[in-house]
Amino acid sequence: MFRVPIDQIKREAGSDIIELNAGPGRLALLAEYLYGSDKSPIDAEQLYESIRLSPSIIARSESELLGISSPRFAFRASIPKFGFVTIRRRRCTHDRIFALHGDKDYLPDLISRVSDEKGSSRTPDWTDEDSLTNWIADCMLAVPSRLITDDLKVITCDLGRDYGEDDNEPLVPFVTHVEFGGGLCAQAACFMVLCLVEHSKIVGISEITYQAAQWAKSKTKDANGEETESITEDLLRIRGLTPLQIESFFNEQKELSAQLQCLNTLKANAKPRICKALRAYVKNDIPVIQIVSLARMLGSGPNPPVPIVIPSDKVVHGNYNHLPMGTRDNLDLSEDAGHCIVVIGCNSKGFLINDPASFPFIPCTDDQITNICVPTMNETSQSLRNSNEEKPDESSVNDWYDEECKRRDRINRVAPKVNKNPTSTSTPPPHLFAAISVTMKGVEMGLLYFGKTENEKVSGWHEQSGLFSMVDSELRTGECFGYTDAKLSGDSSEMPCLNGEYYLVTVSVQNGKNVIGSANAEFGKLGLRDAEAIQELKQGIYWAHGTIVRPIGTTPSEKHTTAVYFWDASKRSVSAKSCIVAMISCESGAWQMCSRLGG
Amino acid sequence: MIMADTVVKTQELRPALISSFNPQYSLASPRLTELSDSEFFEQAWPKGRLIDADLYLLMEKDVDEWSKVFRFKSAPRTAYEFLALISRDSEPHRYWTQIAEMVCNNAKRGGASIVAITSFFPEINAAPESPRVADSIGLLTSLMGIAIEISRVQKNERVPTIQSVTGSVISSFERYSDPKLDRDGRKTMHARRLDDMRLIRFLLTNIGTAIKRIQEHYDSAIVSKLRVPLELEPGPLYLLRDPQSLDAFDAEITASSKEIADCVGFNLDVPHWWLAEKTMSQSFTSESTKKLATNKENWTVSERLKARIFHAHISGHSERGHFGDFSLSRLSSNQQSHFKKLLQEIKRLPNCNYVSLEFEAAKSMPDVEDSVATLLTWLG
Repeated sequence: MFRVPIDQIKREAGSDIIELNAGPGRLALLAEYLYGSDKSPIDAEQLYESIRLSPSIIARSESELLGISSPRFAFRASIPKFGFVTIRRRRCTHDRIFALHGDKDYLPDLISRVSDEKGSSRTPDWTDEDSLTNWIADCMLAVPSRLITDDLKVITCDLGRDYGEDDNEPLVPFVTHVEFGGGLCAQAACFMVLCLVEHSKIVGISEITYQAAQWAKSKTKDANGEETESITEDLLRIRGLTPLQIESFFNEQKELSAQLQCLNTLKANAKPRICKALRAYVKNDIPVIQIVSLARMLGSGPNPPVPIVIPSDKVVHGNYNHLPMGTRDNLDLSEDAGHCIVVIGCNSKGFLINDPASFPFIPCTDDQITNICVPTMNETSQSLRNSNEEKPDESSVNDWYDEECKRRDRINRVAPKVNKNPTSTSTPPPHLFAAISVTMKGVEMGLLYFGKTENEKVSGWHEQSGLFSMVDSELRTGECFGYTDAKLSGDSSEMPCLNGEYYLVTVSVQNGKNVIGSANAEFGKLGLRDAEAIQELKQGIYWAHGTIVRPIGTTPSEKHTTAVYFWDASKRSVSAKSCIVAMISCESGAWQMCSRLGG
Repeated sequence: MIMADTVVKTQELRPALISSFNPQYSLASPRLTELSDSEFFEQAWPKGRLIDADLYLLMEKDVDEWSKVFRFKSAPRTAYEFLALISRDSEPHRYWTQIAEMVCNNAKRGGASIVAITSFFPEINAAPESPRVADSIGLLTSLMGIAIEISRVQKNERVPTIQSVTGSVISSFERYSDPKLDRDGRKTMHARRLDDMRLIRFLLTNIGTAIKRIQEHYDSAIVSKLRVPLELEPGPLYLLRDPQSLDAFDAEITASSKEIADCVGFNLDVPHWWLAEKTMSQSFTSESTKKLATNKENWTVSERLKARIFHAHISGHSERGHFGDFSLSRLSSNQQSHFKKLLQEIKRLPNCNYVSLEFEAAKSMPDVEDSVATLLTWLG
């Protein structure tokens, strides 16, 4: 292998990557945190010897965004059996920026916004490693074995060969975001999702930023609802993306579709339903970008949640990343910017998230993931109307989370400092749950109800389509299924749907990549293959694919219950085997669905 | 101006290998003389392969070494600064000659001739009056000087082509408060993007300046043999990025002075064309596939544009994104089939005599050897 000398890595990426306080550097600390164990610790020397110069889609696109020609390559360290970590050549980036923009007053914003332990800003200094930006570029990583449980599901991709590696094992993408001009966490999250959605084209940070900006230019409206061009033609905003920009970025891709869904977590039973829906997405290989409050992730604010990101994490990352550890007690929530994480795994205990500001594979509980909502979001605040507020659940910490905190503290050699007993305040916590699910076009998720409803009707379909919309539905009990939004289905895109018209829709049920059974008109008679599948079905983790067959007039009819269709995910096609039937209608601009499925 | 119907193909399409597959030991490294033969063939060049060299000038590591050779008091940090620095010397050709002799010896040791030079011209598209552009013009002048010296050392009438991507459309940054997006009134960083046509004119003017500079050192006959093929880089912020920008470049080159029109052309990077728009690379091979999804307009590779393709690059590349180069043998069967068809088309281009295996920062020598063997097989 063509190795890179250690002195070159230190010179171009920073010596802290290799050595930190006379101990292992950040690379070894990260590898140890993820994969080390008492029986099998990470061999730092072997890790350093594996480093080679390699192309990096992230390094290349970040340089493109900054108007510099290099570095386009980065350092890649292999962790045997666990994938690889890509290391940004931070000093090279800084050298180029200084060479081009050293005399400009915007230089500090370009280099980094740095906070020291007291929270005051410092002028970045390229000789100071703490002023260098996040070091982890695009990585492909195996799930740490300690996190694997019988019921764990993690969304993976097989891009090893695309990266020029020998192995093509299923791995999880991860990247930290840089802070040039502002956090680019949304772009980093979008990149991870692009990797995770099978067959989608994958683009870098520059393309994501550019395409999202193009959309913003065309869609921004003023107070009167008239479209305006808020971004001048020749200026490209280098900052994170709004939730609507993220959603539209994916929808603008030829192969992809995304749904921004916003919910009030204070509504009755909202949190368990959110988690149930989130599990349905993950179990079906559909990654979800969650818009969260970074301050809440750190355990701040009213009724603070148990922190997901803990203070000792800065040792692996340094002071320069997006974690305002030194200032967390002083964070003004009203100023707290939204942050993006990607939900990549789940089991019965909780979820695994990739946080572009800190770590991959961060475990968090159901309570934590529903308690890190953004405080405000103007774009989506209307979804809070008619909220039925209730007192939030008390936080609970389970063993899974507890062990992770101890592990990270041990790796980082600092005393544990976790707020396990948050103090309640009179101010209500932020309660807008916002998430974006991303799928291939034609497989959008929505709500399909098999149980008993008061009027067999699911409302607000179009405005809040997607699985999370069940929180605002009129359902009393029953199981939740995903449902392809037929309006967006590739199979039916040529069929215009008219107001007041009902359409025959065929739907089939599947679990992730495998069709598990055919759906029939009656829940108890589904043609499932085995008892395990039935059990999972009862947990509501399946989804269905639907296709508009034909219009059937303005009145739902019992006679449309015999169509026979089946969705084969491996072939991405519908075949005729068995059936369920639903009817959708478009009324007053909102999609509604009438279910005749529960008999 | 070069026109397709005035040029006769005189040479078969031949393979070359880019020398930056191992960044530690590129053919431009003075340290190669310290390597034993076995080390040389393990690190710097595949043994026993009949393939010429596409010289990468310079890797950052080479800059340190050359600075020592030339005993610079303060070593430049980048290749860009280094090559610009030597161009400003009162007798720059003495540096160019020394570099040319060294790299030719290195190539000869591997059984190769240097047929092309690959580099970067950062900021070559900046405004001609901008202080930023001076070093880029100096860099290009040095590359031209080294290319001419290489042809002298190799006693070859053909001067190696000099290829590069064109740089970014981002010119500067500014703080700006967007009334719609920055509702808190905060100013956020914005990158200022310049108009494509303006940048293309800047770039051609700056290349013209480099041509004038090199004419101060060499006679016009040899200067007229210089060819600068520009490489398309897929990405929305690169100046040469898609079919539309290719056409825009082509039109501007045609409208330029004879020196520029003769000198500046394109490098057909097969996977980059594939990535930029899959139908773009098919526009050569399929009459029925000429409709581009990007603008719904017909686009074909015109005869004029074909005549401006002076060099080609090929490498293994992901179908899903711009992850970087890998071995040709690892391409999907669909891609292999398509790339091979395109190679047949490249063979017919009137002014393109070499296709370089671009395998920058490869993993290991066996990977490189495997890819070279594949390319040789494909070329027959």
